[in-house]
Amino acid sequence: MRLRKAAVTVPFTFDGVKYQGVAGETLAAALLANGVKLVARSFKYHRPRGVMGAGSEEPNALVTIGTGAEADPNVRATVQEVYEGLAAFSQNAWPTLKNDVMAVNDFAAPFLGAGFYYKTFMWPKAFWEKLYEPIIRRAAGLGALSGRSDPDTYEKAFAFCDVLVIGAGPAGLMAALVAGRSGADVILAEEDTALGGRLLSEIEEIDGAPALDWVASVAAELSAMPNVRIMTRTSVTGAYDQGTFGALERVGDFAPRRAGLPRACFWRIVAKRSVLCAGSLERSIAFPNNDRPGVMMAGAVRAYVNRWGVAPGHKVAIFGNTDDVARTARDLRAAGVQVVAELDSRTGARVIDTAGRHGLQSIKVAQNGKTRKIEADCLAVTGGWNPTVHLTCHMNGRPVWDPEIASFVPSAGAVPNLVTAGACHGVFETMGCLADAAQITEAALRNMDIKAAKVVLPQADQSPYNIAPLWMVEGKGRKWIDFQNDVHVKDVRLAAQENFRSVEHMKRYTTQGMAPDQGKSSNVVALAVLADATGRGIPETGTTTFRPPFVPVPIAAMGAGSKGKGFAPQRFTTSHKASVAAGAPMIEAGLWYRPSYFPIAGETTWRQSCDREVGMVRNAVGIVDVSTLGKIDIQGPDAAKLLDFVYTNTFSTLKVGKVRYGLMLREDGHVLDDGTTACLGENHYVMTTTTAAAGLVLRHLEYVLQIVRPDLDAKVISVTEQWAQFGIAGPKSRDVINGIIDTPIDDASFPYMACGEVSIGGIGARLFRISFSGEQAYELAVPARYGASLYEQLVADAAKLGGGPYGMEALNVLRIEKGFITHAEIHGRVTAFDIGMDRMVSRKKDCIGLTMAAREGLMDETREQLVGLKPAGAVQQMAAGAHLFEAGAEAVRVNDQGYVTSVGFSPTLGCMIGLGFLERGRARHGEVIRMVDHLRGIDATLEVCDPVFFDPEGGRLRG
Amino acid sequence: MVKLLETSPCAGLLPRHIGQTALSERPQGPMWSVAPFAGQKLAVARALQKIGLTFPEPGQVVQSGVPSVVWFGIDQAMVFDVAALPKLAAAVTDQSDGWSCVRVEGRALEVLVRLVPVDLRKQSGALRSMIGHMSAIIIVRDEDVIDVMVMRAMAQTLVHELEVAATGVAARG
Repeated sequence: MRLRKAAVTVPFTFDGVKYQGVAGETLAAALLANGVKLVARSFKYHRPRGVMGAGSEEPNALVTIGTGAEADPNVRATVQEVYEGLAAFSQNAWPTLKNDVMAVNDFAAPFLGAGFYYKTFMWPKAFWEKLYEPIIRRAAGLGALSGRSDPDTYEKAFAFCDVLVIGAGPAGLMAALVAGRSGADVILAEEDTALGGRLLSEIEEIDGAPALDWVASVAAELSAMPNVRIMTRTSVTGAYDQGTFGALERVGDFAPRRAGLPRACFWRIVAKRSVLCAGSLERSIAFPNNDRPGVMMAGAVRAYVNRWGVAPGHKVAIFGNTDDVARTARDLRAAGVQVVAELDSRTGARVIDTAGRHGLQSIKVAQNGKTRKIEADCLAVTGGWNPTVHLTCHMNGRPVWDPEIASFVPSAGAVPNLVTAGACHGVFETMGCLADAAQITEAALRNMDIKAAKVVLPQADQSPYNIAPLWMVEGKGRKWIDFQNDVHVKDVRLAAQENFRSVEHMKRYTTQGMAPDQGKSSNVVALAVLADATGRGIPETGTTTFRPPFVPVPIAAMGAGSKGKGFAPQRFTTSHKASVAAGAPMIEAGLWYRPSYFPIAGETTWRQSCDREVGMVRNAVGIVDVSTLGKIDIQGPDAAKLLDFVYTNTFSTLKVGKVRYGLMLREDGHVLDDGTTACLGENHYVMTTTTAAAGLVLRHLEYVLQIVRPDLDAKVISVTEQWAQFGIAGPKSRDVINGIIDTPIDDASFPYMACGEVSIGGIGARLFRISFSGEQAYELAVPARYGASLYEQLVADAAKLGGGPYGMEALNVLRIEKGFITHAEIHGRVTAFDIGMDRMVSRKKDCIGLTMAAREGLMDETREQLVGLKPAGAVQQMAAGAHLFEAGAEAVRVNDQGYVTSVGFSPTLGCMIGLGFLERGRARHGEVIRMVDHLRGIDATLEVCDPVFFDPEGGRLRG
Repeated sequence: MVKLLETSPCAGLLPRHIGQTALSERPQGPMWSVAPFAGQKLAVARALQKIGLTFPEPGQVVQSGVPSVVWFGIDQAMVFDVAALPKLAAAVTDQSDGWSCVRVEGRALEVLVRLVPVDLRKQSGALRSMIGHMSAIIIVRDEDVIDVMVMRAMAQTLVHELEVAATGVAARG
């Protein structure tokens, strides 16, 4: 029922029924204004539930907003703002909210108490995962995900400040005012849409005028300060190390969807100091059947009446244990709402039962030895207020019990550089909040050497709190504590009875305090009941901790930007567009995209293309982009010493204009990477790394120079991106090269493993005669801006000679035919000994990994050693990842003798070939063994052979 | 004789205007990395002073007309827009083609708070940081003019990230 007529309303729907609401009011306010009391079904028993609170702590009124892939489940109706066309749906009910079949659970409630599952569904063991759990999960629960990819956009962002003020109630406004006037860089974060906190919902005066006037004037002053940033609709969700806070800003969820506008933004705010002014949360009293729609928190009732102009009922009763009973009655009467009873527990009044299945109809009251029934459609309840200590617990701080207010207050220093002020500091009256915040903030500013500006405190409400603790009322019926998890007094007592007496055990046993609201409304009551059940005091019982996030945060917000292309950067070579235009499927390798193969007309499978490309390189010439390999420029008087120290073999003897292959070990003696290094000039080298290890090797070199050998005067820098580099391989490769470069080369002037500067149309380029295919081959590098152009030229020239581009598949086959290793072989667990390169480890000098590689066991002849493998039986298939066994041995773990690392069909040899590691492999060439791929179901007989299948003398690459 | 043509890192991607944010590619001028050898920093600084520059302190950008020198890392600087460097007792490499550089103008700060985990309001000059998942150099020229550089091959991802961020900023109005 609306208490004042709204000037403009907008249509929205709830469960498909159309209602009118005021734009900007909460969905909860709009539903109450339209007389909708039943808004949800409870988690476990499917009890009818209504709106209970008026803020982000709401345990009951969770709804789904929107439909299909855009649906957002578990949205609190007390936070969601109404806009034109808003479509909200109730959850956890079927077929309708009013007639929910699963409410049968409620009638079976005596059998479904806490611990029921653990005791009942014990056997047969296998049934739990496959049968019981799926059924239970289906029956219980809150909203459901759509199961589809979320089409909405979200943002992440960073913010920085001197002082972060969390919460903009009276304390937060005062803290921001003091910090702002003092010139500090301030962020004021408020989860509500407006500044003011409780003042928005209470009838109070500040300096003789309505409190909202003071709020407006402070808000205006803060808005005008360039050093103050006000962030509304922003919940600070977590406190983390080094002054970092997570915060969720609701950006687009309060209006119809607009292209490009994110739903929410997840902020990471770094603050030198923070002032927590999070206020307090009202708690209920556990009396019988205290969960009917219409039973609400008294503070929420005042919020609906005073702030939103909505009466939650026609006949309102009030029950509580503080002066808020009188305050609520005063406000309701002032608004013209009928108050049917003021039940102050301090005078002995108790609500002992309620009635009304889908909405409260009456309450039963005991007072002065008599009981009576009172007709009421709304019961405003207050059991006192709990300071919002949550953020102070995020770094393991434990709040302390304050008997004065019968609640927990934050412990000092719980989060470094965070102080608390106002209600969350245990100061409940407005005047006290203002004074506390001013004083606390001044101290925080002094602490960071900022002179605090003087702020004259206004006169404000100083009404006493006067709480007389009342946790529960005995009587027949369930006395609900945790409305979101359907936990009642009996459950907590049962936990104690079954010896789950620690508050942490009670929480796990009953599920109290779990789920989206994290026990915001239930924790203190629950542990008071536990304290009573175990005969301990509340301080001894303690409290469970609160963990981030303070309010639910969509995973999509935390993962914003990491969807689709945002997941990882993409690196494109200068030949990328040409490869894609040629129809090459691109595969990702170390963030780079490289062509798999280049299909031509008539080729229907990748193997056809691959076989042709291999033959092209063996018989004519092939072009491949090798820009993705890491290139590290090394200069300095000690450059050669650095190379000697990081490579197993010697580089200080390498002459200018020459290239050498090198092997690099990790400190533990295993192979790190391999590649070639070219000597471009005196004390000037360029090192080539594998594509995937480019960053790793540069980091390794930096580590060596900064930590291990700071005595070496050498500088390293990546030039990977500076140069576009192309491999030209095949017997006709030199013809292609000579058609491109300005001065032709021949075998004598440019033999195998030579390198040097060349020019192409006057543009400086680098030429290396190195081979990864076993053919006469070159690599030609130009500044990357010319890469696309050079590639086009190379491919065109190669085509004239019967050649063309080749992709990763052919490159892989070519190198397997030659027994050249990649990271499929040097995968991190192998040594130089294992790959047959032990003779490349020079004993004449020290190098990284030298000593560790000589450890016992790392040079053992029984180790798995690199071998070549080829089919020797009827099954011609081979598979990387397959395991090797002795011929005839059972293919089980204990018989495992090795594994296959790389395979490919060799068109040159006409069969599958592969590389792998086999125990004592080098001594077993010629032996027939068994290969089993348990995943693909391949069982083949193989012959062990030398890893070099083709041209073992190397005559072809020397040309 | 073969004639090679140039392609810039952001060819076909920029310029773009999104709301009040403009994204444009900076021209690929000469760019040299300079890393002084042991004990040579002062000598290198002196040599650079002859062309109006110096060896920058961490975070520093030194401008002399068009040429500039930008701090790039530990004992490492990048000299921009100088055709040929004087002889330096330093490791020098040509990096002219190694980087893609995008200028963000207009609501540059708002766009970059979505991508860069550093308080750019208090920055002037150069810093090494991240843009999304990419390591980057960020050069704050002015309050609303910020140059961001990532490896050349990541140009497309850089433009994509900036576009998404600028779209979010523009959509908020």
